[in-house]
Amino acid sequence: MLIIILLVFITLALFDLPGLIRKKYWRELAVYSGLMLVALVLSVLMLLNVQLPAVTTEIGNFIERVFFKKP
Amino acid sequence: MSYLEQGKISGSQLVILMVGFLLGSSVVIFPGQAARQDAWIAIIIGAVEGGIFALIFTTLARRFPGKTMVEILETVFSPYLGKLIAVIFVWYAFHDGSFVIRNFTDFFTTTVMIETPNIVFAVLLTIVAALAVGNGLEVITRCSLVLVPLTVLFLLVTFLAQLSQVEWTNFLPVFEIPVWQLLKISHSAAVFPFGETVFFLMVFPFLNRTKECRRKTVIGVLLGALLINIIAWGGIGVLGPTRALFTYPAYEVVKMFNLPFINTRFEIIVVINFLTMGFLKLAVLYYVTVLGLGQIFHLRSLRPLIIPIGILMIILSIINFSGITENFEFNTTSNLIYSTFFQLVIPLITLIVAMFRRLPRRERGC
Repeated sequence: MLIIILLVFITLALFDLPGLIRKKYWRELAVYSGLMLVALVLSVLMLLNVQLPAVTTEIGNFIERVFFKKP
Repeated sequence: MSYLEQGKISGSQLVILMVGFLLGSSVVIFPGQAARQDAWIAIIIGAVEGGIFALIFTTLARRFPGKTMVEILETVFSPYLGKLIAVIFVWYAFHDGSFVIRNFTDFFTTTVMIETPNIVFAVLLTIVAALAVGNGLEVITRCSLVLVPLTVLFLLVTFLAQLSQVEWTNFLPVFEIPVWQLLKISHSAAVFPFGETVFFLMVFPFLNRTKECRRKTVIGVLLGALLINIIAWGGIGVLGPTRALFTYPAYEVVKMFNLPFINTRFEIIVVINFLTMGFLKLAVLYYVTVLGLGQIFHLRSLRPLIIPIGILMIILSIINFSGITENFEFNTTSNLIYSTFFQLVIPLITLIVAMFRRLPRRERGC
């Protein structure tokens, strides 16, 4: 499964990377690699069944603590 | 004028795109359901409140013609503080996009294809939206020109066909719930979906005539409110109090059709509506995220952002909530404050600061 994820990411990277390198778009390349790395890490973590924080529920809890004074 | 988007859209195209955007997830989950038989009143009040939001942010757009929200923020606040606020604004578009994917997958896996895993629908929808975003704003708008009239036609046909099943007493008693609570529910209708038109601050600069944006936004919100009200009327009139049992009332209404001489099982019409409108809403939000991020980092091309943002949106849609009840709880409680912050507070503060700083400065020579 891990290999499939890696293969998918490599295939997707092959769509964009050659063009970026050929045109010497270094800033775009940096942003692209950063976002792709975050996406890759999160996908692998999800694959390994790591419990990621439920983002929206956490935002909701934070707002309730600040505005509705819930414990 | 931004070099990242060369497309131009006309005012009437904007109205249609906006109607499609407003219909979005509302074709299955109409807002204001907590108000029971007064949901239609809540939607009307919510649309008025959303219209007031629209007046505020279109004033901002008219003050800075040809500039997107990210550029406005960078002009009004200093480049660094402006970038920070722009990142928060883009995060909201990104987060909202992940909501659309989540609603979409939840709907499909609970009603139509029960045994298919969530991720299949998320990936398919995102691929289609990514193709639309990659082709730019004009293509998304042209998609809406085809899809929105189709959806409106379906809505009207289903509405007329269900008229025979409407129990008019289901609408009574009117104004049963206390006014304060009705206003709170109306506010939840205002932030979802009417206030979400704030994302069009990233689209207004690509209008042929930017000055038109206020009139067109108000028309779009009113048309959207009318169409959502049609869905709500059907839900209230046909289902009555049993509506509270269903997660997707609009779907159940059409499921109850029993027309003579025609086969039943019309509910696939609602699925088609959500398929097309969900795509449209996701495409707009996806586009706003990609364009916003591109302008924050001053990129020369949007293409490299499309794939990573899509993957991250799918991941966020999965880890947003641990269950469908948390989704509804967030939408009825915390979202009232969370969305108001982006839809009202940020545009209003930006407008006030711009007024005090007398921006944009005219070329007068001092």
